[in-house]
Amino acid sequence: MSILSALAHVQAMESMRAVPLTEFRHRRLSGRPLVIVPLAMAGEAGAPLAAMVGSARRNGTLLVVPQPRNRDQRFAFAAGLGRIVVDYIDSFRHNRRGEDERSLYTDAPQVLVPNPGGVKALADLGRMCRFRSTSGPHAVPDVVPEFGMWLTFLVDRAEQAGTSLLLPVTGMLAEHWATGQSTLEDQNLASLMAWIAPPAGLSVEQAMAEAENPDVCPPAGPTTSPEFDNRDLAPAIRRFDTARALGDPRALATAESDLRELIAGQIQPTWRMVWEAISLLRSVPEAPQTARRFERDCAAFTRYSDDRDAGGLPQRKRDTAIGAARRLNRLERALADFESETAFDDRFVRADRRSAGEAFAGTVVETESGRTVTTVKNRRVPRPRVTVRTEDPVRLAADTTLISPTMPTSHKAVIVSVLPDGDATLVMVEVTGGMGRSVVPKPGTVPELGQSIDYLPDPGWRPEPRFPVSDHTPWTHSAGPDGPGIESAVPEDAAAEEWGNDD
Amino acid sequence: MTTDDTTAFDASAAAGAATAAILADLADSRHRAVVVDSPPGAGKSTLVIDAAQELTAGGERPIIVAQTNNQVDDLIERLAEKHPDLPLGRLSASTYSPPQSLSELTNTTIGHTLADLAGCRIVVGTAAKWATVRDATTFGWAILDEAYQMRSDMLLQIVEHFDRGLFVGDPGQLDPFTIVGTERWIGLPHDPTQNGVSVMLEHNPGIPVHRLPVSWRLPASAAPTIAQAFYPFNHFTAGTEEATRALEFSTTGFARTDLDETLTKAFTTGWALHELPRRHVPRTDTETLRTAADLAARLLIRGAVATCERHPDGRPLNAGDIAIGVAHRDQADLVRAALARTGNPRARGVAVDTANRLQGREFEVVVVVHPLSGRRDATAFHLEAGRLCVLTSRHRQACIVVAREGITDLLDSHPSMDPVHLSVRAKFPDGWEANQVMLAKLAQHRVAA
Repeated sequence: MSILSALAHVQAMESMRAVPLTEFRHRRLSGRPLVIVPLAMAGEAGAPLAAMVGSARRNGTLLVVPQPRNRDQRFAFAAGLGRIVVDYIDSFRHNRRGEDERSLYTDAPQVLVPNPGGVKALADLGRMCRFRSTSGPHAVPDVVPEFGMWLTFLVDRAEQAGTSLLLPVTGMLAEHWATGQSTLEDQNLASLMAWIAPPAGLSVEQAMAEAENPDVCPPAGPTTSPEFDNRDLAPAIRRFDTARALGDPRALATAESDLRELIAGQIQPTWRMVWEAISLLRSVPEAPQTARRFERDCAAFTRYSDDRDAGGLPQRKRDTAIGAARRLNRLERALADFESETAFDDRFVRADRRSAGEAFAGTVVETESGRTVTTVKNRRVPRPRVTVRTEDPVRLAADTTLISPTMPTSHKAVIVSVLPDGDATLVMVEVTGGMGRSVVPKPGTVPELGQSIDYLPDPGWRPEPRFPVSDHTPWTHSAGPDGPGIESAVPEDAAAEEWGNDD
Repeated sequence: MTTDDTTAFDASAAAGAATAAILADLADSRHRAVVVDSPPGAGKSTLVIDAAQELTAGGERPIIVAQTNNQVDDLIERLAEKHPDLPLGRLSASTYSPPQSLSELTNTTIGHTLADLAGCRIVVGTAAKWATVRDATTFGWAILDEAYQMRSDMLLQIVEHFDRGLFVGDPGQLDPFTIVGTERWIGLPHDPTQNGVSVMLEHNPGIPVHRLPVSWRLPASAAPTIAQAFYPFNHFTAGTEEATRALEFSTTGFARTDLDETLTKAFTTGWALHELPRRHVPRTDTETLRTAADLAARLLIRGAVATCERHPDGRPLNAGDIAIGVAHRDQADLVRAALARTGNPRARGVAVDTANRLQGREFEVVVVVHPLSGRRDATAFHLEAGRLCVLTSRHRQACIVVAREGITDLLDSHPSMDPVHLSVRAKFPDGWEANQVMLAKLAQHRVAA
């Protein structure tokens, strides 16, 4: 946590009100997001209990697994949820823009879950569904593996910074608002909302006290409150099981509707709160570069969608050596780019980076605007030098490439020297780009004397790392024919694959 | 023959035997790779140079992969000094500008592509540069220096350039890391966030792993403690006897007796813990950082003469022989500012850096700001054994640790409780335990400020 965000949290604590951390919302919010509130069964890893799903506040569908240990019921649930999700995703697979092969869908789906646990629950569900067979013994409906593959795509994509296809609502809220509670507490949707927008007539303290009472504010899942489990859920499931064992259709129907009602009571408060959070987030202006990041989401969505159309195989259980290395590099780049883009767009985020010495802002105190150099190719190019006086604790080294949100977009500069000047710092930069093609820079492209200017490092373009071809893992990363069996060394993650008793 | 001579003889003999065994394994065509684990200052670079020479003599054209440009420059200089007749190539990016000492070497060519370096017997470059080489040339051998600091995904990018590899590195230093928080690959044998050596060993059983047995850098006062704390299964000894290394003041003390007491303790025993009053403070705590700067400046003002095997008649220490090690970059900035304020113009020459950047470097006296000093919690970052190991194993003469009282209590209230994952080997040394060992040792050298 940097100095400024720590300060914001202290301020929030002192004033007992959430304090905005950013000027903008850096995540895209779809006009028609699909909200899923998943609940899982305690003590059964990856066993879904219920889900509420829908793309509008007023038409949420509640799906319940009356006996989560029953495989058939689980997959009936998966099929039901899958149909809604796949229909929603399919509704984005119509409009394409651009020429045949390079055309992209113009819009992409967005799934919102209450908290990071919800993402994990969808990951488990995706894993449970995507390898199921639709024929032979234990066949499942066609939509189940399809649903599993789409969920896995969304979860994989969600790991990458700056993407918006699947997001936890608490993450979006905590990115914009600082509260007086810890990061862990910020993952509780109810108490986070209590800080940001307490219910009418309640103070933040009162709202927080309610948020912590599972009888008033049931947990946002995926796990349910243990008290609810013992007091209400377990007896209700037992009644359902008994009715089923007796084969009494009326008792069974009653037991099932009791169970639904019970779970609806647990899930609906969260459902309403998620939609409240969404409308809160809509009131925050969207950052300019969000649209560009969304383009990349659309591209990823189009690629995967085409892969589905071509009948691609389900995603692997575990990454291969080369796949993992590739993915790690992609994630690291995405994170660096996202951090830079948010700082570029947002003054608040930039202030945060400035307080850590990773960016600076100041006034131009000296310019050498007519300076030119001759390149190796014997071309004379403008290379004006500008000295900026800043009171920020600059910790950028010479030769760092800079970009500036206060200059025209293609402006680029390189740090020449950083010298202390009393309590302030003089940073001399050489402008290297964004001045047009002639020897005389275009007007407005070189900072002028007295101008205020912001600079931050350019994550820039980096060459794509080249790994060996996928089916050719080198000796350092694969066991030879006589090497140890990798599969046996890694135990199967049995829990998520296990079906429990058939009855 | 005195006992001193016997020990010195044993140390060289042991080191020589280890090197011979490594070179023998290099010549043995059955092994795809040879791993050499080296404790701090055990002659790793010397081994790299010897191995490169040996391979060249055997008709090979080895490549050397280091992790930073500085490491590559150092290796080239030492290679050129020892083997002035071998044509060397330095593979570098187009933005690289060689230091003066390197451009003066006559047997070294600097090139941006392998084609530029066709006539060179040994080609040296950073891993990042090797990863950009698109040339399909495959070399017989690669020597990978500081291999434990290279991530497995980097190894994957360069591995196609060579058939067999000599992996040399210090397993006790800081592990490579990623800023991406993901649990996706935990437990996989090819986890890309792991270091390359572990991943390679995981897939290739039967690779000979050698250990260098003698630290030539660490003094006799430090080697047993460092070995016990950070290399619990890899014992090593100091290459010098207790009496070989010594520090003496060249002036008598006046004023600042608090600093002098600590310096005297360090000069006479090789260790000192300068303990400030107990207080919870932010990591940028002025008092702690200023004390570290003051100790370094005081040492320069008092003037110290160091005696060692290289300078048996003593040599006055200057600023370049002293380093101040910290955990965070902002701390380094503040220590530098504090040094500037001491009023001693020579103090600016003291090297101040984070553990990450001090890796692989060597000084006579090192002042360490303890990573856990004044903290309320012990995070994995601050507990990491590699960090403390780097900081406390850079010195040839003495190490002074500056800390606030209360680290023992902090450790006791934060026992290590990292989650245990399936198929992930327990990591040794454990940061918590290593910290305890170091604290127990430092407690014997405590000076309360």
